[in-house]
Amino acid sequence: MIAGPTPQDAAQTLRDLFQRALACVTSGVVSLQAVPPETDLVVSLSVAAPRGRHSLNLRHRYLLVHEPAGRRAERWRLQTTSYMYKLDDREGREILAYHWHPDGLSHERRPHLHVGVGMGALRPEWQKAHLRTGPVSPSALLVLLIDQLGVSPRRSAWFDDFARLDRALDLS
Amino acid sequence: MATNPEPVDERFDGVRVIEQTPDEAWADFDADVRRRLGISADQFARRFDAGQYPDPDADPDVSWLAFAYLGLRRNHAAR
Repeated sequence: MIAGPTPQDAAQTLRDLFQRALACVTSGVVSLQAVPPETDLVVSLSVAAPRGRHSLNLRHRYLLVHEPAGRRAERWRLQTTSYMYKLDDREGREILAYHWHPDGLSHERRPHLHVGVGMGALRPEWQKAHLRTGPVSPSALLVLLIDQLGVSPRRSAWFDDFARLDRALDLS
Repeated sequence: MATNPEPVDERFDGVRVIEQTPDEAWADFDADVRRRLGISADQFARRFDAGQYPDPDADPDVSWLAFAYLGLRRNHAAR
């Protein structure tokens, strides 16, 4: 759980964890966009891999919830409300995307995975398939950059940084 | 693009966070829409609001942009 005595503290904890995890695979800028009452944490970066550059796109939407009856240190709790984590190849074709958008237009409101044509030959009927997952943290995608695409980790503690983000977001 | 990135923090190996104004966020969204669909963000917004993208799952780019737009339009509508 991510929480703090003030909304700023709780948000700063997420920022720090996110920055550390992202720094394991790339450098660049994370944008915070207010989408009241929520906030989007947005990443759109190019990542160099042995087989070419890939486009990493993350949009993590969260809400800061006031818990007046809670301990002072946990009076503000950060709640993930939706996300899209997406990896494109260098031509901009989607390889895969983790989605959770309970309020979107799609009929599928549960967390799911899309496999795109960037993955390779794909039977057309599978391009729109919602492959159900549990809720995932951005590290689900970040770890694939290292494990599957051969991106060299920029931080030796990358596994710990990913695990720390997973635990804090506690999306299970 | 935002104008005030926070100072570089060595703990994060070059990853910085910027807090964007609604206009800056919309400008980034506009650039993303132009790159993916070749139209402006305003055009996308009009088409989306008119129901011209009834099945966002049919196109990964529309799906990505629709998710962003559903958040950003809360600010954009107030402009």
